[in-house]
Amino acid sequence: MLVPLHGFLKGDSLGLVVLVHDHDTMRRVVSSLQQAATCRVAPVPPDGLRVWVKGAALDPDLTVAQAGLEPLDRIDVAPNEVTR
Amino acid sequence: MLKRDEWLDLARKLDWSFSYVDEREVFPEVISGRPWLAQDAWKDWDEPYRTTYAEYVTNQHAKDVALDAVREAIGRVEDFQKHDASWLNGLKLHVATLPLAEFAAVVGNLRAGRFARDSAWRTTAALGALDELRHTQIPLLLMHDLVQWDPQFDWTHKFFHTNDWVAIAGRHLVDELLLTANPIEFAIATNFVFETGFTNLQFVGLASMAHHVGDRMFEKMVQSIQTDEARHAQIGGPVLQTVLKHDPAYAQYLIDKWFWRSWHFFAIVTGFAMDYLTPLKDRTASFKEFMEEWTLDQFARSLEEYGLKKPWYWDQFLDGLDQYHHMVYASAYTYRATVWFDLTLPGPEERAWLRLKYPNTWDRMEPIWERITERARQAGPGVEWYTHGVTPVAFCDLCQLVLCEGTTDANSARTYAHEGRKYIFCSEPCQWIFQTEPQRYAAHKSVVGRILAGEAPPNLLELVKYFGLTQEMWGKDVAGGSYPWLVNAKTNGA
Amino acid sequence: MTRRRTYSHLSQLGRKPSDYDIATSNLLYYLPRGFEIQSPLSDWYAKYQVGSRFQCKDWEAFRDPSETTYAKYTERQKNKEVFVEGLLRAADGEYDARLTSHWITVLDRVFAPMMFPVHGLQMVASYVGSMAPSGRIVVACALQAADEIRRIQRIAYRVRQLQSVHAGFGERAKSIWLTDVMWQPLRKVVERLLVTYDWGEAFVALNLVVKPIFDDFVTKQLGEAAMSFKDDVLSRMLFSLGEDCAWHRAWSTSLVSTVTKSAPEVESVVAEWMDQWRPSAQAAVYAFAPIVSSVVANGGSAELQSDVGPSSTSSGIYDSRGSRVS
Repeated sequence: MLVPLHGFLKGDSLGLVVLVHDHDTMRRVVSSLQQAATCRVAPVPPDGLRVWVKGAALDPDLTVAQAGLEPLDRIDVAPNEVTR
Repeated sequence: MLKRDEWLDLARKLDWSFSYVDEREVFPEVISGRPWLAQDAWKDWDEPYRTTYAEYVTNQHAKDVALDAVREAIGRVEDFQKHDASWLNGLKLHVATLPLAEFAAVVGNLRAGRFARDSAWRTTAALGALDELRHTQIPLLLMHDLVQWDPQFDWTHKFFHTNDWVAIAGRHLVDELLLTANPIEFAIATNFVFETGFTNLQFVGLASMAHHVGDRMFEKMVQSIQTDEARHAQIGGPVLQTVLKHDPAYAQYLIDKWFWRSWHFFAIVTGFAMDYLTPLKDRTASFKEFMEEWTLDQFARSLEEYGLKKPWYWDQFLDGLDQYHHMVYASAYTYRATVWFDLTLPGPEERAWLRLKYPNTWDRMEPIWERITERARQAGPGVEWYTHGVTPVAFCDLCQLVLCEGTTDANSARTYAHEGRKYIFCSEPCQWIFQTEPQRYAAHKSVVGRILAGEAPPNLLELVKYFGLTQEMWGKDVAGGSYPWLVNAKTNGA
Repeated sequence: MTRRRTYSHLSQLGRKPSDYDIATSNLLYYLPRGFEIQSPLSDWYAKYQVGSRFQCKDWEAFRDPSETTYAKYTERQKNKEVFVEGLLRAADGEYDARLTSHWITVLDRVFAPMMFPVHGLQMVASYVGSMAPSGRIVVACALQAADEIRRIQRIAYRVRQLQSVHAGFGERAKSIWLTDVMWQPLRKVVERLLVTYDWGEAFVALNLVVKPIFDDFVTKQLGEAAMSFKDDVLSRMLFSLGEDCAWHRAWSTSLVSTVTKSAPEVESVVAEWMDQWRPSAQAAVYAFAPIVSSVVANGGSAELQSDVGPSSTSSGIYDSRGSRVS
């Protein structure tokens, strides 16, 4: 199932709508959003980035479904060490 | 001849007590506005201009003759062709948002001409409707011949008829502010906040830049319009005064709501023009400086005069003043095919100026422009797509603009569930406006909502068609990526 | 691709667009798309505009026969006002002192209170404009409302002039409007017009019935009475104000013929509304017959015309003077 998410990449100027599969991992979500913002935000190695939801960094191996993400939820992609 | 004040009041105070119908039937609250007060509460309504009909048509005719003379002298296509390309794109942005919004204001003023609660107010509003008709027709006529030369000027008329995301946001604002507002909300929102609070940005600020650029046509047009606005904006004060007496919380609410909504509009239309589309040498001040001088000081003063508080989100607003339009501009540049005007890539000198004017925040924007610049250089002139986004962007469910509030580090967008539906807002004030009157806003579908509902296509190339744009029309880089500073790698724009 | 010569919505015009085409076409973007917000007035528009029986397939087909743009309007009206100002300058103290006391009594009762009903007509014109489904109708209504402001202000000005010579003149204008039996039928019509919210009915009642009858009374009957009392200034002033009313009638006639051409079935709707409004509008003007008769008895030549139109129409739509409008 496709899940549209409101994605915010740290360093970007706006929110985007990224379409991911419910079986995609957070690692995949990170690279989708990086790709979507690539003309504004230079990609950094994705390993240092995490998907953040409601202040918590999600495990990169977690899938969208496992993370309980639903359509139009907000996710942030930011460095691992950042606390939000 | 008699002096105006010897006879005018006879013609201005014409309310009477109805015998054959009920006052509440003649002025239903839904269309007259609240607080609903008997006519007696409004009977001292007055404004300082007190223009007579004869003065009105005489003065207005003289203004039109003067403007016509300017048009005759410098209104030809060749005259426009002389201007800087980027300035002309600021002009396209302005003239698209102007005429049909002004016409919505004709309708709003006519409603006040019928349902405002005092005859002098109604009469001033009816003449206000004529002013707004003038502001509809002048730009339509002035820009008409330019479509032969540059098809993007077609959007002078077309803009509000399209599903372009800026047009959706524009209608969302204008429908509520001008087209369907009751006379009380109209007077406070349009006359007091929008016209008194903000339009000097255009009339003084942008006019001074037009003067520097040498665009006398635009300068004279906005100055001529300003003289009308200054007069009919006076409707707001006395209405606010009466509402304050009877329902001060509602008055404060209208101020807070409409200051925020107006701010977003001007941040984009005027912010883009002043800080990006006006050639560097012609910028007389930054958008923020004009806002501080012409909006904040004056607006804060007049709020104080009325015993009103600054809007509760004032600190957030001040933060945004340093940031918001920069966030939107960078976003719009990389989605320029979704608008009807071209955008400029700020070069090293422009960015140095922006850093100077926005010392606290510009460093956050800088990496974005470095990235765009790097890609523009890699792509070379004429390649638009390499510096253009392809993923759909998200929109605020209140202002319908891109989610650009907050900073590049911490975007202030917030999600919110209401009656089983999920909404997203760019900022706390937008959410607050929504939550205060959800019945007004909850049913609306943003562009994203339309895509998800299958009403609009998800693919960006298809989506721009839904926006009403064709390749001929859609926004491009003003210089087609050919900037002298871009070829020299050593001046990497940093 | 052929070279663009005009805005895209005018490209099918087949001729060079006039200023009127450019400045008045397709100005209402909310039709038919609706509003982006659920306005408290959404239901009002649904009921009184979209739900009106006054319907037309193509509202944009309507054109004001005078093609009045803002610039054209202010020029035209400025010139009229120069003319009227010349007249009023002539009405100095000596002129006003020469008017007979009988005529002054008539004016005190019939002329001075007129500002109130005309303000009602101004309000209804504004209303019709705010609800009209075509930009060109909005424009015509806005200008018509302004014309009524003109009429009110010229009456007020003249009242003040007369007051300076005839003490107390016009001071009872409001109480006459509120209590004088002669004014009550008109007051009832105006008050009912104010609560007629179907925009089509409001337009028909105002511009095809009430105004033609009332404006005729003001311009012709009162104007002729003024002539017979050697009040040339008033007669000529009313003539100038009557020119505005003639334009209101002209654009209204054009609107009705646009509508009935596209939707013949609307003809009967218009006729029905006209039939409903005509008797009370006529009665409102007939109520002034006693004073106009007394004008005649005092040597004036004016009399109230009885040819205010057939009381019902079996074929076609007539304005209230009996002129066929479709």
